[in-house]
Amino acid sequence: MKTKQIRRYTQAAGFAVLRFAAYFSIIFLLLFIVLLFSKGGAVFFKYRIHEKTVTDLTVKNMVINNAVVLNNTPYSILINEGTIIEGTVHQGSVIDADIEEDEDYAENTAISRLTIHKLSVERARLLDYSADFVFSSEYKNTWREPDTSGSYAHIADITAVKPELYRGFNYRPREYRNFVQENDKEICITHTNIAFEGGEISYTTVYEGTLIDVPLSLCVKRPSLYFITSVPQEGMTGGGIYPAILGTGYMTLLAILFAFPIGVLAAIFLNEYAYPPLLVKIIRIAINTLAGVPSIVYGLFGMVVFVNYFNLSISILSGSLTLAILILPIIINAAEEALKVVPLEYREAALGLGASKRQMIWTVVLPAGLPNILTGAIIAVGRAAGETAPILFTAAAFYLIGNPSLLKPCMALPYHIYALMTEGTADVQTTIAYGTAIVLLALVLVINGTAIIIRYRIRKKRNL
Amino acid sequence: MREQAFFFLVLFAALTSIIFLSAIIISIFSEGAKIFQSYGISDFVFGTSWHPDQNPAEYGILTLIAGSVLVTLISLAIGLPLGVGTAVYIAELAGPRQREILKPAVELLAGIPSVIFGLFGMVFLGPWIASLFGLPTILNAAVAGVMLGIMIVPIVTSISEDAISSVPKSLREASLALGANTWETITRVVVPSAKSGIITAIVLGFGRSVGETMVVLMLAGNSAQFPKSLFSSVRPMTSTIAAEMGEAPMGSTHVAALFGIGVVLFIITLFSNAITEYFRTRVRKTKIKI
Amino acid sequence: MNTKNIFENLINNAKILKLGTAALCAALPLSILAQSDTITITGSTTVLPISQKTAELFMEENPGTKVTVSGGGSGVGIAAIMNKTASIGQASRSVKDKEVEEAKKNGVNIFENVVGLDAIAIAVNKKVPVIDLSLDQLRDIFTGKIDNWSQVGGPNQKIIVISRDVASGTFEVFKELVLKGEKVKGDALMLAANKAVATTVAKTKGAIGYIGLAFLDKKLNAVAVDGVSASPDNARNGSYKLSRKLYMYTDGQPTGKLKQYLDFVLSPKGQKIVNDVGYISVK
Repeated sequence: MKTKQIRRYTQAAGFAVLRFAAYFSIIFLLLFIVLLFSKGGAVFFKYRIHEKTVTDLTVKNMVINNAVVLNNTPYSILINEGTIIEGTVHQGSVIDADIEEDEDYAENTAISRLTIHKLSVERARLLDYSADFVFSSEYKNTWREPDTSGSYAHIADITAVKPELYRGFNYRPREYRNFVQENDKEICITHTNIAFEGGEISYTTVYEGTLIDVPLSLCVKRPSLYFITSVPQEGMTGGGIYPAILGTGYMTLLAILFAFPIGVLAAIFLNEYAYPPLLVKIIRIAINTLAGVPSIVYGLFGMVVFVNYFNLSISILSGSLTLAILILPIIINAAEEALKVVPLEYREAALGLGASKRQMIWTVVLPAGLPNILTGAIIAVGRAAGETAPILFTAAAFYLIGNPSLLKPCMALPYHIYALMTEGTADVQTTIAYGTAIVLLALVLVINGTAIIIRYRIRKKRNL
Repeated sequence: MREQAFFFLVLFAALTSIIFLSAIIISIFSEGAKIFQSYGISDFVFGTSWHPDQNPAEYGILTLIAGSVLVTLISLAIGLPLGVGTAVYIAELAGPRQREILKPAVELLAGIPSVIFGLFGMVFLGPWIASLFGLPTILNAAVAGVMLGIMIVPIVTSISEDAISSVPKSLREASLALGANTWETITRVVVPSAKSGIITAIVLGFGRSVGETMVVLMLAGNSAQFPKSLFSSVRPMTSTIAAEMGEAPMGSTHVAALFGIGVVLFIITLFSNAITEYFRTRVRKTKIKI
Repeated sequence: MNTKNIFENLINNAKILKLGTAALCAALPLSILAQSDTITITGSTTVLPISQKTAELFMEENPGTKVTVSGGGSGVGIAAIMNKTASIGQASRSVKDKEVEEAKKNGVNIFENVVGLDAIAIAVNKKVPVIDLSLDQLRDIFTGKIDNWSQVGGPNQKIIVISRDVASGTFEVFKELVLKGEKVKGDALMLAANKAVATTVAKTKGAIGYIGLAFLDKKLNAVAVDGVSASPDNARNGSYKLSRKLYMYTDGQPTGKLKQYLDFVLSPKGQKIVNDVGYISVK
């Protein structure tokens, strides 16, 4: 027999489990949105490179090749040829350093290898570079290593006083061409990244010739909606997704245009007339079955019937017709529910005033149920906008700009995400895919949010 | 006359559902029938080798069915506890303010398009699970299953919640009066009475998982082999259709085979729908009884 | 004006909204009448970078023409030509005799345009130290006879095989040149496109896959085949065994705008794009 204690603990444990299950959705949603924005947020900004100054840099344990010793104690080392850290120590700078190894170096001896254990650098400074620049489209998609054949310093174990100076993710220059403001100068950038205990430093030097990386952290961000207003450019690695937004918009609009009237009328039949009963039963079964058909089967159906049989070819028309049938059950259900809650008094009042059944429905019941019907329709729109499988073979294209036309394929937001992730050609397309996902999600959330708000307000009104 | 016309208008609108359903059935079945004729139903459904590119082509879909089943089972294992738990919490334990946050959250989760879940899985969930279990690849049945499980939480939650809240108050009060605490009331009285509704939720979740395309297409790995473990790469039926459909010209055997898969899918979802309907009517009947 | 009023107005005006959107949609069909020449290209994801970039530039120079590009795999492209649903079917494998016949039944005469060359690079995960494999070893790896890197001179690590699914021309060519008709091992991952293979190989320890040359980047190591590495020159002179042509198939010889486009692809400008994207120009 369970003691009271055990029962209490079991209850507490059980409640905890339930609470976790319930809040999982919220936690997941939050995580989801945060991660989505972290990956895709970059597409909503334009970037300009900005000059920054480093101060108070302390370097420990640095190895320098080809250094020339000037004095003996304390050792001062002139770095020959180029810079230790490109851009930060200029040619001719003198560095005070303690040399740990007990070795005698004569003045002006060329040393081939020198280890420095402590190096203080005052006021290291990044090289200037132009804030406006352009990348030539000539550069291939391949990675090029910086030219390090000359003497250079290999740096390890650096401590900097300001470790959090530069943090950021890197993009290959071609890939963020559209994130950067353009002008007509052509410059090339070399990026060096030094990771060290306590932080990292990334900085840039301007060279002619080799394009590597510019950390976005060095750039000044400016919010920009170019992503939503421009067409894809640079071989789908830049520009925006406007045609996809347009395509999704048109297809969804057409779908709801086809499905809404039919759905509402069907709901009127089911709720107001419902005769003969056997037929009604069959219709209900049909509607429920339609609701359960997998979306890919809709895609197959759309392909056979619209694309091939009716010869509409892969087009907006085929896609929206397929989507319309997909969302029809949703609209019918929502409309039916809406009509059900219209109070009996309304109907009786209308009939009592001499209206015919048709007039009663048209002038009283429908308007009364309209808010709820609209809510359902809006949710159906959200569903149609996000579906991919039905439009895979009926409407979707990878790249199509220009005015959409009923008989031509179109780009669509959900398909674009899928295509970029699976048929893409460059890394930055992951970011673009995430950006597209954000746009699509925003669209769906706005749509669903509107529906929820409308329903909330209606409930509040009704509860008065 | 106007009255009659209107009646026929709405009747016709309602009949379109039957028309469309029939159109779907006819189109899918007629295309799919070709493979049943030429290849044989049992060879098709029970064959273990899916190799349309070989000469002669092999169209056995058992491995595909197994893939679908595995992914679906994993998704149910994840989605059911979460969904039912959420439903129980919302129906029994949550205060009104909590409800106002939880319910919209679940609804929003329902509204997220599946392809975005696939994206999320490819970039975050997949690598996370792979590193958690030390897997070599990020695309496998487990990842697809977990993602699908999260996707079906809203459906399971809403149906279960309906079922649980329709359990009459008198039962709860009786249980409490007999000395049970809330937890025991929930687990021993409320949930068992809501059994039909919860089973409906299970079956509905199953149907949704089996029919889902984009998530499995992007996450399941797509190897046409019998799954050896939870972490095998599998090729469910839906992703096979999506991946291979454009490939074959209309009228070829390959296309017929893909439609055949569509037929099988349709029958499975039809079945699960029927079971759902059965349990749903039972729920409705119990609602009326008390 | 508070939000409540806005909403109520909105709901009351819903019918007007509907009419408005209906009017908007009426504008759509009219655009059919203004139909300009459209070139639809669909098919191989290998050729996709070429067609997409050339389409972009071609449209800049020829504003009246629209070019649409889709992927799906070489099979999709050839099927589209056969079904007359596209103007160009791009493919990374040559069309099969069976397909030519099927097309003829449909009234389509498949015409071949070679637009570039490609070398299929064998990519392995960065951590795999193997740098050379023979054709036979490749075949054994992909068919499953060899399943550990130690068997080919590497460390003791399971080989994860990544392949393409049946719609892929890259797969077809790989099957013909390497597998010689044998099946890929059952637990190989089948991915949808070159990029997916590249990403997965880069992320998966012990992975090996095959991709178009354009998709080779810093994150992957390329393996030489029979001592010959994948490079444009080696592909052109034929010493690299896994080289292939990239095709754009049309219905009959191209005329009009279609011819203009194909001429552009084969022009120095177009071929430069082929090189930029990472493939090999025909000349």
